[in-house]
Amino acid sequence: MRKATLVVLALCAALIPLSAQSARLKMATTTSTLDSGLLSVLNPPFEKLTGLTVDVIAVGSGKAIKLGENGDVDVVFVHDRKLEDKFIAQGYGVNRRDVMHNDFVVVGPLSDPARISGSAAAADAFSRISASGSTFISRGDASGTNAKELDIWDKAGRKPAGSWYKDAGQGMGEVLVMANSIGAYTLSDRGTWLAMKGKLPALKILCEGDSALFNPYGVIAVNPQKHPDVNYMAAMQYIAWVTSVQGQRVIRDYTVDGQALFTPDVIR
Amino acid sequence: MGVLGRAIGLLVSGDPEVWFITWTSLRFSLFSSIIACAAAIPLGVLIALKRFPGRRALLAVLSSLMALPTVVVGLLVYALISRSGPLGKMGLLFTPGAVIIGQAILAFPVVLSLTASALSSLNPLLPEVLTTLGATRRGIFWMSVREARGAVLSAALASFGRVIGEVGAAMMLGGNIRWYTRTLTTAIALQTGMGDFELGLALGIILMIMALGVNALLHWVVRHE
Amino acid sequence: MSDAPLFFLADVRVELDGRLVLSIGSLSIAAGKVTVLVGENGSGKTTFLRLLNGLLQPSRGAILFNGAPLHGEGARRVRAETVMVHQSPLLFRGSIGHNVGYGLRIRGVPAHEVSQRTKDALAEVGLPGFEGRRAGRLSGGEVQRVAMARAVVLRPKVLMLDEPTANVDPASRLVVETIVRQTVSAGGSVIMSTHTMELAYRLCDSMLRMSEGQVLPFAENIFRGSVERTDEHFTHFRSGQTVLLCPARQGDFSVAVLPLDDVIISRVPLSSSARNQLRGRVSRVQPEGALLRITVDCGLPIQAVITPPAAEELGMETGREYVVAFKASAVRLY
Repeated sequence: MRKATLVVLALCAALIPLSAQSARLKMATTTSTLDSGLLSVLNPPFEKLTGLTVDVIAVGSGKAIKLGENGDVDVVFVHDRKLEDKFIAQGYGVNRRDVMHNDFVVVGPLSDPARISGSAAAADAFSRISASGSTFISRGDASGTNAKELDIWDKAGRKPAGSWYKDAGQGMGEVLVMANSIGAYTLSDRGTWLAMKGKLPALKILCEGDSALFNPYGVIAVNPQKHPDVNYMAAMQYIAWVTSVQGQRVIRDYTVDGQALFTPDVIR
Repeated sequence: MGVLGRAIGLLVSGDPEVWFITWTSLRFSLFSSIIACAAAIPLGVLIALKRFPGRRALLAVLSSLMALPTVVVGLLVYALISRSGPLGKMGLLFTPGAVIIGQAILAFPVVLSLTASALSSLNPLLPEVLTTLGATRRGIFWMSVREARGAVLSAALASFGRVIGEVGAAMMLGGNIRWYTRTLTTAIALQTGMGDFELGLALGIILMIMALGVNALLHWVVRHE
Repeated sequence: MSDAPLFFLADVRVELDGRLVLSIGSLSIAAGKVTVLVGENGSGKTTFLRLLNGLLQPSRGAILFNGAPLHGEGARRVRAETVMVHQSPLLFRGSIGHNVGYGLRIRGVPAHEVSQRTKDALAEVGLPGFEGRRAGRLSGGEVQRVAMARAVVLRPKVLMLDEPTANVDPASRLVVETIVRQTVSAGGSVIMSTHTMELAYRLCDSMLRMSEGQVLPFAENIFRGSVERTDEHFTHFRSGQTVLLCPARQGDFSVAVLPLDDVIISRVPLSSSARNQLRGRVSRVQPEGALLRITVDCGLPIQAVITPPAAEELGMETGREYVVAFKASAVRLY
């Protein structure tokens, strides 16, 4: 019996991470950022440069911010200005920098039953979708995309409810796949759209360019005053990287199918 | 050829990420099963051999804990090891350790309940016979495990099967971090979410083979009893 | 051999689930002998064995094992020196050799010695070469024998057997007898429960009758001896210096049993149909409930039970000479 207990304790001890933890940077970001594939080109040069390993945890914006509040990650990289501002105002985040931006697009079935093609304003497109009762799939997961979507419904003066409105509670990729398979409308960030376009033959962009669809990304370090154990130094190094000329060039030069997904904010 | 063909192609070509993910899943599940067994088997034997009031009720409760939803366990452990939680200082969240702890907690009631009921169905004369032959309490413990070894092994295999296919705890506690805490299950959740069905399917095939393998082993063990 | 009894019980009561299952006022069990417990199912024989083995605690009273309290300093010695073979014994999974060698292995006996002693023990019980066989494929008698081998391989000082011959074939019964005799001749003691009376008579040095959890005073004279000769009417059974006449029977008998109730005591020889008449002196007068148990030494200690009025009329007292009479048909041979 005692031998067994010792074995258990030894195994547990072996699991407690050693000081190598300081070599890891935990970053919370959104699923759409991860799905776009940007991080697979943006992070490796940083890791090589600093010898740090970036642990990317991809969840909805809301959860990413929450992880930052809890101190479970060291740096937050999201695209929801309202949430980000609150995060900083409440003292959980410090040293916010603009990193890049892209935009959202309204995608829908090729047949466009709600006739939104050509709408200049996103709110207008949404009104038509609601009026025609065409199926719309929402992220429903407190992500940046979700927040933007609800914002537009607000502007359109429509309440998103009814059998035509599907609240999926899932990531961007899943939602796009769902929309593709049942022929529905949805709001997507251009990055994920471009990354997955090849797998979504039944959809196409039907509304874009409206300033309401602007999607800025920010990077914020978790405040070490609130959580002294966060890897603040590493977080600052990461912020330095993504806003450095080199890092910004990586962002500018990242393309999918010949199209750039993001526009860097620091360099022109 | 289609999706299935491309998936098998991935497997056969020996894609390093696929095999690292598989290795991670195996590693986490083995570790957590071993920990759960080391803790639960002695406890299960104890519960089975000592007749005390309320033993039946305890066994029933333990049995129902086997059905604990994985996300619930994930949530509870998360609350404990989050930096804002009581064990936050240990910095366990989003590390392999966190996943192993969560999965060990999932596996524990499985092993405990199955071990206890296996040993309860042993001949009640066994401890007495062993005593008269001069066995100490430790001797009685090990002989009881030996007499029920098939069932105990089944319990261990069952616990492994439970954790290798779970995604709730692994996702919440590990964060699905690439090359670090990404397991077969979390990777499948991610890949299918991204629409990459080939990879998701390839991983799913591997997972199914492992799950079926464990099951086959279980049946073989039971049959040889 | 020390003079201390192997077991001594004083005022022992055992309660299980609130019921009184065993109640023993005062009892000695001698060392180096075969003590047989007889009685109906449920009379408490198994409980008694488990009590002696230290598996049960008495709710009251004291038990001494070789002079030491059974549940105190004696506990370790009881474990070390006694082995019990249960009725319908339980064998462990695996080979028979594994079963038989178990006790030796946990006592740290080196492996080669374990296998040698295992081989010898299995030969002793008539199962030579069975070491490799699986425990699952044996007949009832073979299981019993393996269990006995598992016990005797430890060379215990006290061997306890619970109904060793119930549901068992004749060959296995013979093995039980052989083992019992061998244990005693090697200086050990055997305590055995059975309800096969023939076996009980043949093996016992002393017999304890049990009924409803109590030990009853025994009601029979048991004498060892051998058949001297058999003629047309009688078999002459010699025990020591005394010859008893029994109805003529062929056979090799070693035990003669004479119920107390069939013994008549008189001052002078009777002219009666009783073919056995022996002279002797009263060595003991013991009150037993409302009656008196008289022991008359006629070369053999013959016991009888009489009423107080009869005792008074006969002027019963120790040392006086009397004649003991009983019919030939009262004597049973085993």
